[in-house]
Amino acid sequence: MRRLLLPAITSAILATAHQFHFGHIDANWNSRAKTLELSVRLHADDLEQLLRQRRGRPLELDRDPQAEALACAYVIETVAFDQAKLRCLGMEVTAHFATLFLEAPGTEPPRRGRFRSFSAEFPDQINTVQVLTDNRRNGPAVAFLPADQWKALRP
Amino acid sequence: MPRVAALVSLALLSSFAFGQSRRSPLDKFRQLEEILPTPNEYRTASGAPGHKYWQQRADYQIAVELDDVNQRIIGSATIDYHNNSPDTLQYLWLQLDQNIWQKHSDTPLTETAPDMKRFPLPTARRLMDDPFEGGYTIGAVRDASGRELHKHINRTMMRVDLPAPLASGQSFRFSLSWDYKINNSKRTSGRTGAEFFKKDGNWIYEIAQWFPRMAAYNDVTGWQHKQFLGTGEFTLEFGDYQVKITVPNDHVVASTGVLQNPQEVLSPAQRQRLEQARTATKPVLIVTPAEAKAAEKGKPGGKKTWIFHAKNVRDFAFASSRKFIWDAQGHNVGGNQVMAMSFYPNEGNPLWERYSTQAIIHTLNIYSRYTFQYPYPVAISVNGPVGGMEYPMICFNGPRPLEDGTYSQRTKYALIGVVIHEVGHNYFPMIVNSDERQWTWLDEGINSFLQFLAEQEWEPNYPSRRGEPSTIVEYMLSPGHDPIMTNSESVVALGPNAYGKPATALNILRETILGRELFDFAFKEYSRRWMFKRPMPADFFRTMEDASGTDLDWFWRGWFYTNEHVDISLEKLTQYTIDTRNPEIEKPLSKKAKEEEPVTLSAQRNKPLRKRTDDYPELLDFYNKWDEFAPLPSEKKSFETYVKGLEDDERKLLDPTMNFYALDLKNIGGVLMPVILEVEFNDGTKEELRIPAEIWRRQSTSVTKLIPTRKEIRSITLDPHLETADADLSNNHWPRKPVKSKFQLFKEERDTKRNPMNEGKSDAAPAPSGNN
Ligand SMILES: [Zn+2]
Repeated sequence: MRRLLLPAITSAILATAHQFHFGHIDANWNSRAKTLELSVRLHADDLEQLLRQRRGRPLELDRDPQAEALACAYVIETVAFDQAKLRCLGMEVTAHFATLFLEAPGTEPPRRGRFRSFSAEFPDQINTVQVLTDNRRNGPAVAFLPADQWKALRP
Repeated sequence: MPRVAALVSLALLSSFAFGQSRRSPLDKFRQLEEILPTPNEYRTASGAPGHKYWQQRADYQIAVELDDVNQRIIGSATIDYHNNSPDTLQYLWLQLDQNIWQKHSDTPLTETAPDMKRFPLPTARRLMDDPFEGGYTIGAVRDASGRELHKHINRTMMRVDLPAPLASGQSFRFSLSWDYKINNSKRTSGRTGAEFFKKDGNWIYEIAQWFPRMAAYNDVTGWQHKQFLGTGEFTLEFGDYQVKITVPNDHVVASTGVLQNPQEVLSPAQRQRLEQARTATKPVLIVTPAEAKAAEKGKPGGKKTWIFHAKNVRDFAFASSRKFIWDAQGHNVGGNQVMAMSFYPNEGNPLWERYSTQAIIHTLNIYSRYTFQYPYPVAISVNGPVGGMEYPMICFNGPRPLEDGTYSQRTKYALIGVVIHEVGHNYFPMIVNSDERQWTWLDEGINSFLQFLAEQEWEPNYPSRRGEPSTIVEYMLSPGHDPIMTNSESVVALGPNAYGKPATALNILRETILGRELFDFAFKEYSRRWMFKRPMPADFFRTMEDASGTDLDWFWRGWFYTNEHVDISLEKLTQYTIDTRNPEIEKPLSKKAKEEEPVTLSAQRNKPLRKRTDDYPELLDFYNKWDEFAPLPSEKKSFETYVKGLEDDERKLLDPTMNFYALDLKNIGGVLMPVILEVEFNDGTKEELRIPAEIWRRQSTSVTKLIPTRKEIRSITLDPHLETADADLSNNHWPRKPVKSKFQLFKEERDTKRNPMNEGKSDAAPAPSGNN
């Protein structure tokens, strides 16, 4: 099968001596509101560097007025749960972490997920998804390595 | 609250923790000796260097030229290799780290496929039209008499065959030359590289892993023959270096070691400023921003050779540029006079002039307190293309403000944090020479832990990335993650694995398991024992136990050898009181219990109905009138007999005000931790109960703890100070308490953020209709 490569959509991030390369999502099914609530936690340094390279000029995650929109777009591009139409509510940035908050209406807790933030950039990236129902864990977290695409979130 | 009266036999009172029936098959407290190497005369069972400990030594005389036109390094060296091992050597191995950038290097060969939907640009470049081709060209290797020696290059290593076997105690001198193309860090990043500034046409060079370096030969691995793939940094031998660095004559050079010829390379003004800096109380500019700016516009009129000597270092690195501002401040670190210096371009200001040298001195102060006095004469921080990397006496740090000279809060803390971290690496692994190619965590984890301590003494509430237990919970919950004891090149998610998790583990060991006094003593002992020597993980584990007088094998096993996490749950609390057998006490209690029982719905509705006995009271007999809770004379009598049979001290125990609470605890995560409980009583008072992890020794999955108290318990919180990295806080309360999710908190905060302005308006005047 022949597929098209799209070089230069993203550019590799500098390999620094002190890497982070870990992402985590709490995916909470709010049964009363029938809403999937996501908090996506990424390392701020990784995210800042990626957005900087994508935009092609300097960007500071905690100061730039465009940072939130760019970060939201990146997360929506690399995170998916079933067919859910994710809406980004915003981002919180601390000295080291960026947490993005997204939600989507639905009818049931998510069955399958995809979490590929930084999977293209770092061969040692691990992303994990913890599914919860009304803030109680449904089971163990599910890990995504760079080669993983969609994965089942329920046994 | 359940109130269960139970018969408590007096003998039971001494036993406070019971195991339950289900046992996990593995004893989590079994000793690590089946895993750790057998102690020997080189490394003792207590974790110290043995009486026959040895290590090799290599002294270098190097002449190097930096070609600023073609970005090349051209070098030659004479190396004196001292065989202190008990072994006879037939050949020597050297590290050729630059060879990871050779065309057919293992580093790209062993890379796995990228994300084919989002193809990184440098990957495309490397795979298609424009790969960077670096790597060493090595000239002839000759012995002291000029005879050429046979050499063989095996990827990132080179074997030099000795003309005659090198016996124990002998030295061998040989020389060689090399050159290579420096990587442009914008296209090919690494721990070394050159950065080009388009607007003034100048370069900053950060030069490291730049000469053929003697591979380590030791009692554990023999020759360290793990090839360099890019992640596992290095371990080398200590030695003295004399290095002549030739650069364009308008460059400023920062280097490992002490400058030997300032009169040849520095102006009189610069020498005089340096002298002034020795005793200054804040950084003194040796090269000012204006002078650096002027140099950017100039052209070199020739070359200059800077000569540096460094004693007892495991490596050597330098940086060079005409763009450098240079500041310096002398500082006395526990009796050793050190020159703290920073080199940075104008692009680094105003951040660098304010923070870099200050952070160097702060690091030396704090790290020396926990380890040993900083032994070197200089400590340098350089701003250039490398994000953060350490070498002896010198390190490279990346953070810079934006072009307009403003910077975000994150950038500020990134700079302070990275300077502390990289300067801190002087202690681990530059002086305590652990093997990074094998074990990243042994220097990075320890260094991240000390970085946390140093940051917390920088300013109140410094936002440290690592150290606090809560920062590592999500990683520890990720299924199938690597145990800390995993080889450097194999680790997935190196940051949380080799930096974050060990930093938290050591912080917990210090704060929760051993306490600061025992930990600090043992940690200092490890640092002292292995200063200028090469420890292995077992030496660290053993020393920490030996010097603290505490068996920690269970702790190393849980935190370093498994990928389990911490999650202890408060399952159930049951209240027991002593059955005093005194009917005067027990009967009223039973009555109260009966009265507290719920009344059924039918009973409630039937209560007002008129009863037949109301109309015919003669239907009421003895049983209708008898108070079942009134003590009977026979019961009083038998109690008296019982009491008479008891000894005095036994009689005291029939205390009706005593409560016994059985607290059921479950270890869900697997990693053993102390059980830290905050008990709140009905009278509003609180008590903290700190139970060592040994409570789990007979049964590591569930135990019951008995809490005797005269008060009544209102609530219990497990891990109230968030010190154990407990992954699930929702099961840490009795009675259960809802824990708000980050998502909820964000939404609430966002809503409250939005409101005050509206409310302010509506206070002043009714909001105009149709808005908001
Ligand atoms: Zn480090």
